[in-house]
Amino acid sequence: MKKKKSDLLTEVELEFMNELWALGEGTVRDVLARLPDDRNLAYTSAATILRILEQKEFVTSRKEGKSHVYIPTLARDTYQSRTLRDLSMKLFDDTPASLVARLLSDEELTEEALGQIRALVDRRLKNDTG
Amino acid sequence: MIPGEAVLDAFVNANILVCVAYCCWFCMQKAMQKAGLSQFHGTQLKLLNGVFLVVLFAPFLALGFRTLQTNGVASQLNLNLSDMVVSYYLNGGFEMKASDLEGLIHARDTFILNVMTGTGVAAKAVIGVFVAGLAIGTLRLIFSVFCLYRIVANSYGWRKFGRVRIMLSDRTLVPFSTRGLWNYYVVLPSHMLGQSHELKVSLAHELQHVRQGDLEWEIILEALKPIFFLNPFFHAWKRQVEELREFNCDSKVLSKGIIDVRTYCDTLLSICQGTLRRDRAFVIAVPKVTLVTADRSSNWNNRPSMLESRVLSALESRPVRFQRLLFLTLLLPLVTALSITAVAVQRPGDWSQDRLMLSTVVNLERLDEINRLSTFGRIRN
Repeated sequence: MKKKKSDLLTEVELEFMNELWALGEGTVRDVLARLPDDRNLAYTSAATILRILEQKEFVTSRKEGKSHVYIPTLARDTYQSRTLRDLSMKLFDDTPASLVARLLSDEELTEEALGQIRALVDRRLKNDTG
Repeated sequence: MIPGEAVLDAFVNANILVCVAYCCWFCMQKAMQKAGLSQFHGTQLKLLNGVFLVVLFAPFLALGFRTLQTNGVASQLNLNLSDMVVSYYLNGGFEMKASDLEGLIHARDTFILNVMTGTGVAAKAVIGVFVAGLAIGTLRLIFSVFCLYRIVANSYGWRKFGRVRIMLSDRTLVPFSTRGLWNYYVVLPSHMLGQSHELKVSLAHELQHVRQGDLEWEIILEALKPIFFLNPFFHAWKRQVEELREFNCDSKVLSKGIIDVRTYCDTLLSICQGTLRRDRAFVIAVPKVTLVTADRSSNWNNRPSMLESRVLSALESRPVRFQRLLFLTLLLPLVTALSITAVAVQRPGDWSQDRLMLSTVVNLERLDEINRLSTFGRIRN
């Protein structure tokens, strides 16, 4: 049976991808060094997580000396869009407007954040009409 | 006997034996509890499995006994239950109308004949329910095995040693183990890589299941479920096996002293919490042996939940000695009782003197009844 590739990352994989996105590329030790001290993750476990990410085609690797350097194949923005699409589909009946409405009705959203959202929407509308 | 009749006869015997075996084992378990041996989970599990083997091999036991008798060994010994009942009746052991007793003795033969020929509403209903149940059960089993296969096939290989493959999966929240034709698979949720304590407990627990042979028993019982689905004792049996194997596994892992009780219980609780978010395919998938399952049945009865019992058992766990000796001591009477039952419940071979006598009594009863009737159908005074 052909292995069905998962489109989304698990919590621990996302943690690793976040570090790789921040680093651009890195070895197991590079990623481990960026994790909080209390994370207490074994080298072999970290290597396994990166190997799984490679099998899921979220990263590629090249050999440098004795270690592998992992490079993200997917940009952070692309993954953010994918996650939002999934969230919109699963939780908001595939209507992104409901997702945005829920976000805007969040009372913790500051005036500044609302202003930024308004600017983004204006820019998008201008691009579409222009 | 035609092959179909022989198969049905063996099936009836197997169902009777499952009931008798479970009752015998249940009594033995209660006696062990009374004697303060309830912590001997391994012994109880082995007894349960040993007794099941006797049930599986019962047709061969009966055949062996018959062959011995044909060759002149213990030929005078009659262990057949119906022959014993007839003999007891003829010796005045109990009072009953001879024709009623004969009807009772032949009830099984009549039932088998009716089912084979499809005579009567009851026989048709039995055939309908059994065929429908067997078909549904078999399809469910095939689908479940496919679900399990998909989960394992979509997981990622982590380690392998000998025939054991340790896999990581995004699809499961609960560690479990299963086996293929040759290899054993221990599947762990991939998020566990970041939780070293849970990982250690899960690995130790699942590898203990592999060592104990629990996977093989799970496969056997799951494969037999569509056949014995009408027998409540079979379901009770399976539940007992599931409970005992977990208790035994817990005590075996803790007895090694590598994992402390608190970490172990914390892991059970935290993983059980995860199982409450159910993945349908995972719940369906069998045959597998999971680290822990959320037991919802305890919400409506007063029985403590399986998890609660396991935690309490783990906390009270103490090393047990002479397990093998106790097992052999208790197995012997159980196997003897079941072997005798296996021979006793067989259909009687030839007409014995006693059964000829019973038939004669029945014929005399019938003649008497005819004589009591007048030629005009009125009863003579």
